[in-house]
Amino acid sequence: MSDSFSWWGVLSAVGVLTGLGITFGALLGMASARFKGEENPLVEKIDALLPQTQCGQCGYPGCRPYAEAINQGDAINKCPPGGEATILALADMLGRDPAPLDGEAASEDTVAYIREAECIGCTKCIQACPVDAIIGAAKQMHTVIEDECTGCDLCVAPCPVDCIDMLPRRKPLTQWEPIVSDRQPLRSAHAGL
Amino acid sequence: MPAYDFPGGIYPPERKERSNQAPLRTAPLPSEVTLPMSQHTGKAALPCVNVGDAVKTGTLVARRDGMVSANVHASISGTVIEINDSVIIIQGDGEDRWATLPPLDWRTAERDTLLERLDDSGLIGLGGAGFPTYIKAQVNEHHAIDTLVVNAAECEPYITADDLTLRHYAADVLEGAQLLARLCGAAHIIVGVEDNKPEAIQALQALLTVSADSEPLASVTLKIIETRYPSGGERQLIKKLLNREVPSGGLPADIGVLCHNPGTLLAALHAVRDGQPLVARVVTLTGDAIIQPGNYWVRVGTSVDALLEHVGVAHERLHQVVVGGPMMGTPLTSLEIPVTKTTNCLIAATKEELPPAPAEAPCIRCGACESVCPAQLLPQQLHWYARAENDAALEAHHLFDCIECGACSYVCPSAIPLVQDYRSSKQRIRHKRIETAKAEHAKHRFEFRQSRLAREEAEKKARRQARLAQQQSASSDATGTQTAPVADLRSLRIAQTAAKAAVRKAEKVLARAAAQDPQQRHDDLETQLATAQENLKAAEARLAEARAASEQKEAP
Amino acid sequence: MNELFVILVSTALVNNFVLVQFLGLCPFMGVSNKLESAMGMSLATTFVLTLASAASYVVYHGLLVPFDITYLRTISFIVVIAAVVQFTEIMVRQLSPLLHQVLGIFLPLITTNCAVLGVALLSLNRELSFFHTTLYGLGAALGFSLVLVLFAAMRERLASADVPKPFRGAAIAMITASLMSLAFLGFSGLVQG
Repeated sequence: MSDSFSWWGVLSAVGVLTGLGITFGALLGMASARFKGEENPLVEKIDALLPQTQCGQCGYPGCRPYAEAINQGDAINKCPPGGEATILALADMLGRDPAPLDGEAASEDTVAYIREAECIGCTKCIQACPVDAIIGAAKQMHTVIEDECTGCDLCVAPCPVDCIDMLPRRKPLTQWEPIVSDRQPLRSAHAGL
Repeated sequence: MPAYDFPGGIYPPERKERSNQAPLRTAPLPSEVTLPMSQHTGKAALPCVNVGDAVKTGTLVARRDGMVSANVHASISGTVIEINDSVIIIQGDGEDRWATLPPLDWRTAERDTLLERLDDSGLIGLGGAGFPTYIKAQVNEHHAIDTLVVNAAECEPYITADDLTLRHYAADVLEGAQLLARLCGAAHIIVGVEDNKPEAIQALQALLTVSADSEPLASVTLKIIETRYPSGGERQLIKKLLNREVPSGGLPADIGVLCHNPGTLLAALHAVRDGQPLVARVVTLTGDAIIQPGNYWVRVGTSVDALLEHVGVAHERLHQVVVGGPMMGTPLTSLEIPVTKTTNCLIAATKEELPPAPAEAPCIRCGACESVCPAQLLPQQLHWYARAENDAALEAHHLFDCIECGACSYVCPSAIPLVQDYRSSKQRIRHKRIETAKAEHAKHRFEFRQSRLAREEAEKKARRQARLAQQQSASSDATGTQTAPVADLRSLRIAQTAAKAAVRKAEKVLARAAAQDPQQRHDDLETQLATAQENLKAAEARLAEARAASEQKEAP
Repeated sequence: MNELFVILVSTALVNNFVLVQFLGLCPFMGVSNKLESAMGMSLATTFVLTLASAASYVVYHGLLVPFDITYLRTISFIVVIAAVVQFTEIMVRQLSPLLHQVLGIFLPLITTNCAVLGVALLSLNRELSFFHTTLYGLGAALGFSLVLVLFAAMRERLASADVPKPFRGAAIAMITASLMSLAFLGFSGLVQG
């Protein structure tokens, strides 16, 4: 190893490093283009963990937009209907630290009940319900289908006569039975296939 | 026969000699019965009588609700005095007049008639689970059955109901077995008895030595097995008798076996041959605090209090009454409850007999629980995961294969109530599964609603566009509202094609699911198909609107 | 044959890079919360270590020695390692987006994993052939993977266990790691060197 300054030494050092950098950079560029990752299915998995009440308490217009936001890095503790269990499940799946719920937790599993004696048939609650759990039409009686109601309480505010209460479920959860499909023609058409 | 075995098991003191010395007696007719609407697995029965109606013993008072449910009949004759959501109370008139159905000859009657009779008689499994017998008898519509196992093991300490039933009614029990074998198509019947029931074994052996009659009935074999708890668990018994293992999460029917309790078979015969609905059963009354222990025919609905008074209870020594056995039974908080179809034993225990459990100590990871588990699970791991509420790990360790026999808590040196941990975990997981299904369902409904609103919006715009176009051509006014910039027709066409493909895909998925399982409802898939169709309509409406707008532009 | 065995055993067990030489503790502590992420991480690190060892050898003997710029080995090895890690990240994202999301920042941090650079530099001291250098890297990776998976399994059990409050989390993990380290001292003297 020579002690004196050598232009060749400097040149070779710079050259080798630059060469290495360019070579690897090129290789990586090619690899990156060749192995393009597909559409990120993580959003589906996040969405599957959310309670689907579509209530908007997280600040997003529905559960799917919130799932997409979480995927982008938003906090996982914004869902009150999901509660502690959802935060832990999300933390577990994404490898993040669980944080306490940002907001008031839903105290009980409540569903909406319309006091039919006071209902004026204005359809405002029907338009508000995100899962079409309210039966009714203009000037006709409105009623909530208990097994379809998710307890999001978006219907309470629009009611002009304030006749909607949020009360605990009448039937236990083990007897949950969503309404039977009324789309009979579809079923019979496909059963034959 | 070669000796097969099931893993694990324990040898608790049997304590059967208290109740198996006396012959089978009949408890006196109660003056009042309280009939619960839900004595079986499945939905509660619905009352079909009114307060004030006169009923006879065997009159139908509640009809089954849905398929997995059972009828309930009056167990004494008298008047209905109260009906509410959970019970029907009948005041007896002391006469015990019967209302029976016409007797049937099970050898010649039609299969459907026999099944209907089992259904009408409110027959359920008397071994403890209470599953409606008429459904179980039809299992061969889905699984081929080759062997009917008569579960006469009665492995739990104290209980001797099946023992006494076999001593007195061995012939009837075997005939009941033949009846059910005929219904399920089994060619073999195998009776499994523990070796601690010599009289019952004798009674059965005497019958088997008699030559079979000319009718081609199922062959009957008696197998005596070593006394060990829980050999009466159906999976353990099937392994012990036939060396077949019921698959994890599966049923004995999956491997061609059907298991029945001797009491159920006797009741089935009474229902068919004598037309008697299920209104009474054999109950073991035992425990140190009982003065006349033994087995008794008891009418369903008899109050436990009244029953214990009849056999005599030393109240000063009585500590608790357990319904069921000491391993899997439950202590009663009140004696005002009725005997139900599944009550096989009542233990009036003193404090010394069934001492209260010592305080729970931390798990020392000794592994004693694992060596006795008859289902080859890892109770220690299940315990830790149950406490940590780690549901994924619990399911991975086959929590739902636990039969809750209690052998693990019996041997635990720290007196940890393991079975309680598993029960509460199972409940929590079941609850979560329902919540997930609910959320999935709500999501599909939400998506359908969004697509419907989008379609309505698109159709409205298309109509408005068409109206404008008409007005334009009518007035031939060139200064058209510079409407929406000719939205990219190409991208809208692509969107419409994509929507069509989505509809086709949804149709295929639904068709496949419907073909695989025609009985099952496929609501969520149908909702998804409807959503896809709404999206298609919306896409077509937007395309129509854009076409109308572009034509309007081109029009002079 | 004997040499292969000696190299593998000495790098994997006797001089285990994590528990005996105390390198690479960052992913050891950071990714060992769950068994699945630990297995994913160990696969990624194995891939990186083996490839990086081989590539480093080539760069050293093919470029640095002929141009007499061996003093640049640290920088050039880092360039090599960074490129290999980047390539690994592309592959992981392609093959398993969930694992990519779960490993998160720890995947690119393999670049700064002192065990990887350490293996590359320490293998130089032994003056091994190309094949043996690669084997050295592989042995080190196997040792790292073994220890990481064992530790993750233990941490999963600890997560359900009744740990006293002051010890929960990182504290009990450190204690466990030190006990593992003591255990691995038992391998000393198994092979020479």
